[in-house]
Amino acid sequence: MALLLMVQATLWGLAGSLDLLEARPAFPLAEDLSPATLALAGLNIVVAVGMLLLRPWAWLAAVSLQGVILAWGLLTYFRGNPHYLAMTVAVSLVLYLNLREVRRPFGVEELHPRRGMREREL
Amino acid sequence: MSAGSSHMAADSVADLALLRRFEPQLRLTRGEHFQPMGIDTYLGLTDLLSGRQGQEPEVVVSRPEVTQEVLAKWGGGPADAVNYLQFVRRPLNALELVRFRTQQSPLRQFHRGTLRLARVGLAGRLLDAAFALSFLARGRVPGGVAAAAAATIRDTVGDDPPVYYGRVTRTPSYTVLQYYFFYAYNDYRSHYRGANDHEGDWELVSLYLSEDHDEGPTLEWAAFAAHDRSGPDLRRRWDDLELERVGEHPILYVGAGSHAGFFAPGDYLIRIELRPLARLREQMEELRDVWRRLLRQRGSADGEPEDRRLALAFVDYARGDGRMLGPRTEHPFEARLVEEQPALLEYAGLWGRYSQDFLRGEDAPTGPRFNPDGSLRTSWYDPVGWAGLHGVPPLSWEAEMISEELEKLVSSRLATAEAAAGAAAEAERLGVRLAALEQLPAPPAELEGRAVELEEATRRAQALLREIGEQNRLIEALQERRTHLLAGERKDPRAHLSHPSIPEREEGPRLRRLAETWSALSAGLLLLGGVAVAGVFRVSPLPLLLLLGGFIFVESLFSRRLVVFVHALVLGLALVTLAILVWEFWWPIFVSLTAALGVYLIWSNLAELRGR
Repeated sequence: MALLLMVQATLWGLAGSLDLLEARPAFPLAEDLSPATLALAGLNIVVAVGMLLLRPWAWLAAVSLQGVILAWGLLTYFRGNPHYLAMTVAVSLVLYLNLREVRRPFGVEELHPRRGMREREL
Repeated sequence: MSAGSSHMAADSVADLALLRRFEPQLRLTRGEHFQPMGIDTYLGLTDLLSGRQGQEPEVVVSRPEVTQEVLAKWGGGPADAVNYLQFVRRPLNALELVRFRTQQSPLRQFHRGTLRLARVGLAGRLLDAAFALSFLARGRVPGGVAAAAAATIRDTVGDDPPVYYGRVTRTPSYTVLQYYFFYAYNDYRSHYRGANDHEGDWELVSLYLSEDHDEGPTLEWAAFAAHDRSGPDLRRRWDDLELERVGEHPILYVGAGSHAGFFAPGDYLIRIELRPLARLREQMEELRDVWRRLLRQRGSADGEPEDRRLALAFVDYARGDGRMLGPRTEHPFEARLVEEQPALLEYAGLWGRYSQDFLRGEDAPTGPRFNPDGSLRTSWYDPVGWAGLHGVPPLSWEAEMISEELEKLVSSRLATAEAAAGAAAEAERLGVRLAALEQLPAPPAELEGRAVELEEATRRAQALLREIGEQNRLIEALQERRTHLLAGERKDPRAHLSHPSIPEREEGPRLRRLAETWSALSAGLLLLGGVAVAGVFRVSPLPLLLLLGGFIFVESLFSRRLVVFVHALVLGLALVTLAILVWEFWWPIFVSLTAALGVYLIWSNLAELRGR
């Protein structure tokens, strides 16, 4: 998972860098946001490290990050400027993050606290 | 006195003693207006009416002439009419109501705790608004009736001892003690924001005793009626820690206004799921099942407590911090036998006002014996089945029953083994004949028939052998169970419970005051916001979705469910994106999948070819 996030970070980093270097035609992903894509790349790396170290917050951070990317992807799609590659990668990552096997090490197999009956002494 | 009647009198005395020995202790909630009372007092305060749909009801007998004998004689009344009692003639007017609530009502001592609406989600609040609107179309008990009933009972009953009506039923397995409690009024809606109000309220406690030859009757199970429910969830085993008791008396916590029975003190969220919503939920469950099993995914609703799901929600306040009634209290019960109450045995009409509510919630209930359609109540003719106890023998019987069952099974297995041996021998005999016939140069025409006979004999032998295997497994299981029982081990006392009532956690929503204000305003604000957004953006769905998302976000903050909200939102975005990708690239996806399948088939078949 961390590796996938690193790949995603590389994509975003590349996009942002190319945009800053005004190489937009070569890499259309960076047409809209350049500083933001770099920031996303940075966040991706932080989250990837968190996942490598199995930090409990990393799973939620990764899901939230993909949420931001998906929201951005949908926005650009409805504006007529879709980024299908980014959308495909984000969808795949969300479904992967949501697998039982991936959630278990982060202690988020179930998000709802179980309600138990209070023990009372008679 | 004849021998027969003296025998009956002796039975009654014995029944009353048994009822007295195990009678429950009731703990009311502070602020409760009513307590179990005698029906004779109540009847003296009512008129008996009879009415047909769309016609003015006719007063059959006026107060104070209504007695048990009158009701018994009236029985079911005319078949096409609804027969009912009317307790409150004149509801309190607004001024009297204010005076009652501010100066006289014990409700002033009641603290509702966290607002009911803050205990449920946004969808529950919208449903609640729809439920409140439904009263415009339904018949309902008019405002001021509950307070008038409370004032009348306070003035007439005063400090009279509480009463129950007891009934003893002996079934082959259990001796069932039924305690019927009558309250003059159910003020659950008027005073506790509950589901309904109605005059007259019958509640039931059933205790299930086993007859142990050495120790006499021992209590095995206790079941408390709650909101017309039935089944195993109503009962608790005597050794269940949730069942509190003083000596041999179980303790029942009475819901304020509703008078439903609970085993533990606390506030209970009562969910009423509407039928169309239940169907929708079932279909969603099937989709979730595919999502979970096939795709190995988790959903945001997995592990969600049931009280968060889409249903009407009310709170039953069964805190037990009010008056205590019954054994070992300052207010002991007056016990009366059901069989000596002619009205309970014969009167099939309603025990209070008929509000013509098509959902029946605001109509008074019928008595302990009859359903509103005149049929007998399950709790009356089958008290064991009412609590889901058929198939659950008393503990003292079980080991003995297992021994008897084992004896039967062992002899049955012997017979089956003999039959199996016979069938196997028959199959062998037929096989020998068939083999002999097959080697003839010109096999006879009957050969095929012989083969069929052999096949049938083989199948018979197999079936009998399978039966022996199953009998062996059952015998082993029974022997193991008997060993556990003899060692004094029992099954988990809560194993039979599927949806037991559990009191709310004391931890309320975050920033309680703010959360309560939000819960009171949110449903209305959402509707107003929706109208405003629709007015500005017409039929554009995005602003409406954003508005709804914003409300759900605020909701998740108060209910400490932000993680669930984020997860659900991202999953939703992913699914929408996935749908867009499939829509945009369906042809390349189809081609790629077909190509992948082709490659896989070639690879798989070549692997088989190489391995040959």
